[in-house]
Amino acid sequence: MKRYLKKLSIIVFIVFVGTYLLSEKSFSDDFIIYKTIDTHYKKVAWNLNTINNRKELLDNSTIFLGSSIVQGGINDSLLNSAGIKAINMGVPHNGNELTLYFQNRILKSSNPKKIIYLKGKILYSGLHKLTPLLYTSSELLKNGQTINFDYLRFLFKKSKLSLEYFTYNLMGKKTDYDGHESFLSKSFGQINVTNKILESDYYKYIGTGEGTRVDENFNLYLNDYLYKTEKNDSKIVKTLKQFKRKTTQLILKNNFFFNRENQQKFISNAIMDAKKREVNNEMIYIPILIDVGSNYSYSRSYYRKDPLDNNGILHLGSYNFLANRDYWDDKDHLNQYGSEIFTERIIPYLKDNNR
Amino acid sequence: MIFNSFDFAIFLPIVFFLYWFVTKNNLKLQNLLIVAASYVFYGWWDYKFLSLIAFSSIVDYSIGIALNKTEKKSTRKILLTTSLLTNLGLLGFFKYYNFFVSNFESAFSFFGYKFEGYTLDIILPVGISFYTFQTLSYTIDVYRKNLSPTKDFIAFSAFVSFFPQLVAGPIERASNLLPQFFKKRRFDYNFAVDGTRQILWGLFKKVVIADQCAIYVNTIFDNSEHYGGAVLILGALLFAFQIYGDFSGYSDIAIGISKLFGFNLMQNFAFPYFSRDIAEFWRRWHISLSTWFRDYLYIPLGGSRGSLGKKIRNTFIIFLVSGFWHGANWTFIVWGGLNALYFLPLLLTKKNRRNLDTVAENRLLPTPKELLQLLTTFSITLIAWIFFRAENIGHAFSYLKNIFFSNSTMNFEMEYSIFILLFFFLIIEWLGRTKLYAIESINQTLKSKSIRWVFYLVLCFTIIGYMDNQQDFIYFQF
Repeated sequence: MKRYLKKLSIIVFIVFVGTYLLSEKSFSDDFIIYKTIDTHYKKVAWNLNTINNRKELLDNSTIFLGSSIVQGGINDSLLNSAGIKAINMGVPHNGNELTLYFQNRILKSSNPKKIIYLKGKILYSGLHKLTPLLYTSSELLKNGQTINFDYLRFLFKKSKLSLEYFTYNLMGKKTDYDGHESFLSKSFGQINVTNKILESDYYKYIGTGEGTRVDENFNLYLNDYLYKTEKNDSKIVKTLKQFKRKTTQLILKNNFFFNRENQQKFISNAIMDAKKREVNNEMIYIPILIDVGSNYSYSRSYYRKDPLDNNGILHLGSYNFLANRDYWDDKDHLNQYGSEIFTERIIPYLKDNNR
Repeated sequence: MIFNSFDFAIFLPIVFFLYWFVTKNNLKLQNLLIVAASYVFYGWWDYKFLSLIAFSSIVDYSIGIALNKTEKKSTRKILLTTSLLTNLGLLGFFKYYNFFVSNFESAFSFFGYKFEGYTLDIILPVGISFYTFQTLSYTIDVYRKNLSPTKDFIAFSAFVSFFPQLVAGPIERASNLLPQFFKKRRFDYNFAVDGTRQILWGLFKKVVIADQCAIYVNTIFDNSEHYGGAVLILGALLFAFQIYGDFSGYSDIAIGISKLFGFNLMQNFAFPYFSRDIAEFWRRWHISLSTWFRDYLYIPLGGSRGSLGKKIRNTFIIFLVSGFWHGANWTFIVWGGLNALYFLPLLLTKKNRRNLDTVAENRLLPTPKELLQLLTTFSITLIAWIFFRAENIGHAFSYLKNIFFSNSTMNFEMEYSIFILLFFFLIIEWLGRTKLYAIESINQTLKSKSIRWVFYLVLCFTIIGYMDNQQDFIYFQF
């Protein structure tokens, strides 16, 4: 057994060292653009192109960073028409390390006026799918990641990309900039969605039905971990349910498996970096469909509270004005019309210099 | 949990550690650990279906004991029928219910009658076809008195749910696997190294060969009406490698993992694409299933004895049932039928057992005649694979028609690196074709230790390099 484990350990060690070395390779922006331009993540390509070639759009501008909720929810064209120089740099999917990455890149070459981060409804976990494309291993560790389950996943994905990067360079592949000229040269970052949510889904998530259950579930931590319908259950049933839910919460807090603390670190580092550079910053809460138009009879909050909230959150307090099926792409995203209504509402707040 | 996932990379060392360090001198505890680990492994996918495995285990365990207690023929028959009905009933309900209902509807409407059946929103439990056949083999062997029933429920549960081969085989015979749960297991260095090597080769086949081929196969089959003949032939060719890499890769990993725990599973693939006729192909492809059908269906039906009509009937039954076992779709049945048609001339001319050795044994290269035989056999299996992969019968026929008559000249872009990989893969498989798996005797081929290490590391990094495009194992759906 000893001999076997010794040999296996040597192989595993060599593989890990090799993987780590491969994961230290940083990729050119050309490669990142090449990998993302034809995908759901083409906004990454647009962001990089804008940072590298269109500095004038970023200087003295209010920059929005975050997930697809930002990408579709903030109409930067409308903000500019209203006299607020702004740019939407949101990218699909959750991951504060991407916010931190783009902020680092922006602050290296430009002087924005303000950076606004998305305040997530939930605390994020894991790592963004594109993290291996954007970070080297040591950069990720330096920016707040610890060695855990997600980091190991990152290492392998990064190594795979590094091998692909070698062949990319070896074969002399080129990004087709001309073919994507119209997209890359856009002056605004919002990617408009004109879809309308299905009627059945809309009513499912607004006011009654499943939406209430989802919202109640989200707020259980404020309501003794019990649904309203469970208040009359026997004491033992209630205790068991509470125990199960509290335990689940506790497990989800485990940073080794769920990377939640690290996700918080990324956003807190972003805030600190911006402060160091004396760039104003705050967060914005953009609603999802269950936040709209209901009278909930239990303690609730729009988002999971966090010490970073003290930095300031642009939060409108009520989102009933978005109670219209025409405004929603799906249960989590405003569509083009919804984003216009929402953006108009935040204009006065953004114009308020005291914020 | 699938073998090429990160979750499994954490799961396996934990179970290995507990097995050899915590429960090491206690056979009962080791078996209990195997049951627990297997249930976690399966429950990772959907814990609700664990009850099916548990139910199947309880039923066959009890029937085994009951069979042992009675000599009365009629009672024994009733017990066997109960096991068959229970296991095949579960399989039939989860796998074939909707197929039969919709086909009855079509048949009735064809004759002008209206029949409205209720189709159900059923999820097919992963691996049900595999563990059902495994438990059935136990009951049938006990019924035939080829095997004594076990009284140890934990060992029996471990046999039914043994996680390395639970969801995609090899379908083990109780006579081979069950006794191993009663033998004291000692860690054997050479056995474990052999297992690790086989896992590595299995991962290479799955991650590098099968999953890379899958990318192109999916594109070609999903858009077959837009491509010309050459691209469609390429699609079929790549699918042949995909399904081989996928399924034999899984088997290699399963057998390799079992070796780490001191178990010896049966060989499931013996380089089937190096077969000189279709009979040899079927002796080398999915061996655990073909021998299962041979022993429990073909031979009881009379096998190749009896009249010409009986021979033809038995051949068709075994191939059609084998096709149907793969899935509730006419494509699989036609695939089985086609193989029966390929096989029948060999059986009737008594040439079905002429190629029992390995092609070009003790030679580096095949003779021109052998090469022609290999290419012919491979080509006819390609045609059958089109039916296997197609969405439905119409799709398969239009795919075949387009190979010959399509005027489409739509370009198909692909990375040529896949051909380089396939070339090296074929060379390694050819060189190792007399072994249980291609790199089993790598120590003799690569005499230098350092070159062997480089070879293993190249395999590791190639696997890592291709790991991102993770696809489920095809045979999970069966």
